[in-house]
Amino acid sequence: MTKKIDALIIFIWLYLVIALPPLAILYLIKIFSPASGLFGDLMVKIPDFPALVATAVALPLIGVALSLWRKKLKIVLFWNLKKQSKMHFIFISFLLSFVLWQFYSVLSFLSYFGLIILIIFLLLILPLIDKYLRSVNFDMVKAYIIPARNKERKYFGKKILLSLIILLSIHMAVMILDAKIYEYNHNQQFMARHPQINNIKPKIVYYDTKVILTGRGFGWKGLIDTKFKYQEGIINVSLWTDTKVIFTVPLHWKTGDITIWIQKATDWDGKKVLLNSDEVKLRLISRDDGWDKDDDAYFEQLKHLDKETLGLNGYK
Amino acid sequence: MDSLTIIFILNGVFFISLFLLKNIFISLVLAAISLFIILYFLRQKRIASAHSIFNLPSFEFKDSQYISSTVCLIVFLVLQLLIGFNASLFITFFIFSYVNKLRPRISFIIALVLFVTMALLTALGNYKIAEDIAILTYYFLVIGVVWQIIEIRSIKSSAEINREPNESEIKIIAKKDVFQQRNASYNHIFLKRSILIICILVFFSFIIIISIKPIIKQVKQPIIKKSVIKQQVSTPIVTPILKPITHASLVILNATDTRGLAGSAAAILSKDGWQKEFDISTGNYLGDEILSSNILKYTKNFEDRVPLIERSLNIRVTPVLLKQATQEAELTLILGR
Repeated sequence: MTKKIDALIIFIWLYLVIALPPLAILYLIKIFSPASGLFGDLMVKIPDFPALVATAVALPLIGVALSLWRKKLKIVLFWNLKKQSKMHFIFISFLLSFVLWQFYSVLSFLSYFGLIILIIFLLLILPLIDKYLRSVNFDMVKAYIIPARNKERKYFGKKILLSLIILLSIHMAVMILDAKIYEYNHNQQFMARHPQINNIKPKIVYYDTKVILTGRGFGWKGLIDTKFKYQEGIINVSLWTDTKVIFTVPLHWKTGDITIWIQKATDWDGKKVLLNSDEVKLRLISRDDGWDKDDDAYFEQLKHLDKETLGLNGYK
Repeated sequence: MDSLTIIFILNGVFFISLFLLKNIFISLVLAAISLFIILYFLRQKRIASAHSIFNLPSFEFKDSQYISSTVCLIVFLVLQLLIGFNASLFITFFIFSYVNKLRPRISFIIALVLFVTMALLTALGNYKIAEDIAILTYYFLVIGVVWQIIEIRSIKSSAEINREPNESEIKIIAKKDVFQQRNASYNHIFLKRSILIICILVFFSFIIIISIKPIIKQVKQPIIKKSVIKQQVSTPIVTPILKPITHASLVILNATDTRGLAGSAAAILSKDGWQKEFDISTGNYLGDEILSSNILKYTKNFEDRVPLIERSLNIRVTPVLLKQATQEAELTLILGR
């Protein structure tokens, strides 16, 4: 078991040296000249930037962890480094963090706090990664693969086979990671395409009241749907933009609490799909069944409505 | 054979096999087999590590160089929020070069590298990035030329100082010897200072331009707005659809492949006070083709806004007069290339 762990420590290093740089170069070719066709359909299979970064961080960290476990490496902390090394790692950490944060939006949602987290993270892991990468060399690979003089040739073949299996397994793990990250991002993109209703004004309505829905991703045309339809009918939409929809409460809706949502058609993965927004509630009250607390609530809400909604419904 | 050579050979095998076989797994196997073969042939020899080849300790920098580089990165980070990427890049580069006493040829070398990159990208068909790099190349060349002029001036002045005086000049020099030598020694410092002063002036002029721009716009805006309001009052032409809506809707659509074009136009208009009268929303133009011109669809009552939009956004639009407002908006601006 310990020999296999030692082999893993060596082959993680080997993968980082012989496979990761060409993959990074291929990624750059893919980004800068997508139409070059140098490698044909292969470009689709090249791991994307998130997978490459994750590999460049995770693999050495696994190597570090295994080396620490096998006591082949001593833990290095940033504050214990020499002054020159400290300066070196501060500069490299800042530069890498800035590139990742600014150009690849890594933790950019946290603003400058995200940048600081990245710098601290890199300051902690870079000295360890550096020490691990320096601790393995080709002589160690040679010592592992090439048997001692008195050993059989079969042993050499077995080592080569094991080495190939380890290398291909590492690459397989990288490809699976890439596929998972792609799937996650793809799903996030799909979710982001869904319309989202942030606000509905007014919330208590009579028939023929004009209602404003605000939010994002409504598209430029779509449908307003509801669960409790009294009967099918056309809804008069006076404005439909990506962030705002104005419609008139139709006569075919049933009074009471109505759950409504927006539905828009979009192309996704070459197919037409219908996307539903989140649901919002509307209380439809009748003018014809006498004055009650619902009517009071309707007029109470008018005090808090904005000018636009009031103006739309004839109130000044 | 050393580690670096082995790495280059293995990466070469990986690339060539990938180019020929178009399979990453097979390329990886081939690279690994090449490594085993190389290691077998080198089994009796010690392989020098990349660390010893580069002799990394000799590359050690001074503390001040690390500090100045990190400070320059921070300056770049702050400036690019204020004045954009390109301007901050050049200001930071200028400061960095001055602090580290770099020669003007560095600027030319960077320009040359960018030029080669640009040519490669153009050959590979990535024109958009090539265009951006071409702009950067031009800027670096300009900086290099300016820098070179400054350096030539400093060389000339130092050559004059060091020239052997003839007999007639000896008498004159003897009279004002002390005073002139003091001046000459200050000359070099002055030239260095002049670079710093230019840097500071460029930096402050950028800041002043940026800070004055909105003030100038604010000063100009009320005059335009007043005339707009007057016209509105004197000619109350409102279509039946617009009557109940106090806030007219203005939709800006991006019909190019440039991301965020509609958003930035909306931001400019909001900054100019358009959001007081209009509900501005943005989106992408859903047509198949990329438009080559800007189109403004409007109804008769918004006719007076056409030149104002052109002025605010500093663009020319093709006006399309609608008989009736569309379902989406009363005013639709489609931004083309």
